[in-house]
Amino acid sequence: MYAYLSRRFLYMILLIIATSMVSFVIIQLPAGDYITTLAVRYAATGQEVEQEMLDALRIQFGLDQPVWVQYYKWFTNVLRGNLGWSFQQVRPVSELVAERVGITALISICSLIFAYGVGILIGVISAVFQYSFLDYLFTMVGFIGLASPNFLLALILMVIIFNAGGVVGGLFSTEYLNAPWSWAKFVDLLKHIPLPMIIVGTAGTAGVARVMRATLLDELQKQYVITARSKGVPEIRLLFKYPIRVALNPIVSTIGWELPAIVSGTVITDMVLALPTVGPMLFSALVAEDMFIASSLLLFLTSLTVIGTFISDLLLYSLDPRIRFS
Amino acid sequence: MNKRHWMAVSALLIALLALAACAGGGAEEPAMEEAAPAAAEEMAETEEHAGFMPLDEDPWVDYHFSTPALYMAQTGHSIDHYAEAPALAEMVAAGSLPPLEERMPDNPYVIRPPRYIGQYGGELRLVGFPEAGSYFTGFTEGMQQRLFAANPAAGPDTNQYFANIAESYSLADDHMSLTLNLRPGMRWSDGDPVDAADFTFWFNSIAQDERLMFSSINNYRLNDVWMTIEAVDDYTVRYDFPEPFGKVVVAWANTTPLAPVHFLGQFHPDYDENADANAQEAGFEDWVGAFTDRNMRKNYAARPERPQINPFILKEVESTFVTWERNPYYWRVDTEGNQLPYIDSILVSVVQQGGDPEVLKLKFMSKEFDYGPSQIQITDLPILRRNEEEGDFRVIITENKTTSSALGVAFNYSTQDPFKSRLFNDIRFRQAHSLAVNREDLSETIFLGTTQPFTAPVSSIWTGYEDWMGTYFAEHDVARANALLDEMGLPWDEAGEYRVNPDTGEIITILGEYATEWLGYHDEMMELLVDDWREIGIRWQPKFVPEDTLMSRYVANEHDVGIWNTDGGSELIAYRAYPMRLIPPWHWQSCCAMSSYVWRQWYDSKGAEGIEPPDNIKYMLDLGFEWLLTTPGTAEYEEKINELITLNVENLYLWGTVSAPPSVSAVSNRVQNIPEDESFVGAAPGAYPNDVVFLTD
Repeated sequence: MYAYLSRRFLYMILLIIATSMVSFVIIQLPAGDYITTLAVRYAATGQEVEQEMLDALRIQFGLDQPVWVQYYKWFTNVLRGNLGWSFQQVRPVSELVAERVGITALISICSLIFAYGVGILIGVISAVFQYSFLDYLFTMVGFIGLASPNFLLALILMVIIFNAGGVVGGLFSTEYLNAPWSWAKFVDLLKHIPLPMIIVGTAGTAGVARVMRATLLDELQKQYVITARSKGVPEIRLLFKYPIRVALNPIVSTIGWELPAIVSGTVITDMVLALPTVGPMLFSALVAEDMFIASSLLLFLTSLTVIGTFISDLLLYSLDPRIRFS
Repeated sequence: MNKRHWMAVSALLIALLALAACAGGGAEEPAMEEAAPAAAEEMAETEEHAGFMPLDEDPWVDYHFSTPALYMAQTGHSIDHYAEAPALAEMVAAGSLPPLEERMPDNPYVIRPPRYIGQYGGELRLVGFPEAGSYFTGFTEGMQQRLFAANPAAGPDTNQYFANIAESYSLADDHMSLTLNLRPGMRWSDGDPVDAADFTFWFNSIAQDERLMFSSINNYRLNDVWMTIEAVDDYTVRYDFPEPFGKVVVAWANTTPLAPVHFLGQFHPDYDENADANAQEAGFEDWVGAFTDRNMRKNYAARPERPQINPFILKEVESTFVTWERNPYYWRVDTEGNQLPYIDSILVSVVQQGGDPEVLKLKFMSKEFDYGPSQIQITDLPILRRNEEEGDFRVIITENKTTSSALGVAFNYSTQDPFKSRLFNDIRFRQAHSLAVNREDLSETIFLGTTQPFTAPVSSIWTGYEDWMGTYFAEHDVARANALLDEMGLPWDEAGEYRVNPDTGEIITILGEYATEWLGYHDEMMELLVDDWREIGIRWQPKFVPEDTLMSRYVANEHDVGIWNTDGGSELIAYRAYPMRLIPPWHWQSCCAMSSYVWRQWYDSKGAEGIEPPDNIKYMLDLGFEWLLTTPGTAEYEEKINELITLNVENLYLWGTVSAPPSVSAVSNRVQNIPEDESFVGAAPGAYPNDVVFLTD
């Protein structure tokens, strides 16, 4: 057993190192580097771009060295707990990520709750009242939710809310941006949260509702339900006592898949809504070839995924005798 | 209905839809006609709104005075006493700040505010994005105080300067030395005096060390001999040049040649022998790392603890916002003796580069920011006009005077493909392409008719520009264009669709790579241009590539054609650096070389690298660098630059399509004293004195 576990663990470490290497190299593959991006940006805003200045910046950022030297320096620093510096912001990566992870998780968890809460409710209603008006309505709305891209939905909802005089974009009004936490700031946050929560949650809602409806329909036709009903168990009690609990199984078992997404957020929607989450930061770092922040974030996300897989390996090991005895 | 009409109609439809969406449905007003209002109307509205008495009818004339004595001498007015912001007065009363007279120099710099004497107070709200350790906003960009201030009344490309950081300056008659008389009593934002030691520290320990210096060291050495600095006394420094350096004021105008030695000295081995050890202890590789961390390129926008001489100093830096507060030791006053700046603090919401600008525009229109995001362009005009009143802001439209063309084309004359090399280097090929462009149509379809045909590589405000240059080969004459190509011996294919290579029979195909990161309209322009060039039988394959990739292909000499707008072509920048729109590679070398970069490499390396250019190009390169050594205002200066522009225009090396569209920006009505009738983008240092900006509420 220990042999199996230590082998899996070793694979996990090797996999993390390998992905970090590959992603570090891939980020640098596009021609040019962060300094090129910066030079173009300076030129586009009418500032002077001289060779000496760019050379000095390259030396300052260590970009004049070969890629393996850069990788070695970065990785040894990571092992010491130093994730490196962001070129764009010239601040430690760990600080930047820490500032955003909380907000990202907050939005992700809110939209998860929204998606599962509303999805399960709709699924139950459309299964119980199959082929009713409500079922057709929810089915239609659900398909629209599944089919429309989130960012488009975000743009449309933003225009509607803007015209209705509501608040759009970001998580805080400008006036509370640098204010210390207070009741008013919390209320302001509550005003901003529903839009991203609904938009990010919509696709998930539709998925959950479809799965819930299908499994519940299966359950409702089973023998034990018919038996219980014939014995006079009240309809509501009957529904909640067994079939719904059984139907929840496939949904609960996939909840774990959402965990990496809780940390990374959704990139495009968050960009459209100007949310200060991790996703847009990763995107911007990749575009600008801001290597250390991009590599560190990717390392972080791959580690989460790999560790998740390792944990499910462990679970599988304890559950499935075929693995245990092989 | 052909494609072009379809595009025009759909553009109109989209605009109408946008209007309808924003107005909640009832929008029939033709927004296009509102597109170009007179600046005068804007101003009238502004005055009424602000409720402040305007100072002068012509706001931008003669408002710089290096000292109160000069103000007195030139206007007959005097300043009786100095005043400070109420917030600072409270701190003085509480004893936490020295009194005003101990914080300001004996002779502060006097500015006549462009429109009103402002009022103190308020917080300005901006939006910015991270950039190499600082946070870019148009407003804070203009904050850094420079050695000399330009006279904005002389236009955006002026050579007239006032002493700014120093009280006065004198250039020796033989142009062999420059003396700066500093301001006694002027202080850094932490209260330490600004004196000659700060200038010598910067010049000897920073400017001459290429690891620390981020701008051209060629400003400080002539023919590889360094200039020297001498502290004559505490408040006088003299620079000595190894040979005459008449352009020193222009060359240094944009610099800030001093650094707080009392703060930065501790990180530099010249001043603290433990600097290296301390840096390593703090986690840096060596002292250079620790030093540059406090003194980066835009240090005024990066590290709160580094002392500054600017109107605002950084207070908090977070990844989602940045705050600035007034510098209590600032050394410029208005004509009534009020210490500037007027505004108490600035709050910058930080967004990621590459994010969606639409949400920022919405946030601006719902009054969350005071300045519209920098991505606003001419195509946003209808939606801005719609919301102008409700959002309590005004749209400012300014002529774009330093950009010559919205889109310029330079074939890659040094291409490795022998057939294409023959084509590109034949002037008839370029002439035919220019004649085929339907410039009226471009302007109408994309820029709401606000642009004119313009082919010259420099804008019309340049010395040496003549009226014929802008419209040289700008007429739309497809027949003549085809005649030129026929003359070159380029036959049509059997279908009569495209021209072919007479030797191989292959269709002539030009890969038109372009980027849109900064100019959203290049997609539409390329589409129309490709249609135009099909008329003369040349097949263009437009291809969008990210700007990084595009730049590296330019530098690697792998592209067919350089396509970009012709911005940055200001005469001032050209004179300070090199005439970048007039000699290969027809832009900055490293980042944006438009064409024939290898020719320039050959020239700069004296033949060691690159490819040797033809003689006429060598002549142009020589001419360009000779011009840099002439003195502005002389006949030699004018003749050389005129000849260089003429050579470029006649040869169509970098030729334009339509003139640059006007710059569109939007600003809240609570913000006053900003330039509204002139574009000060880029060129003139200090021309946009943001310390006089104030808020009306």
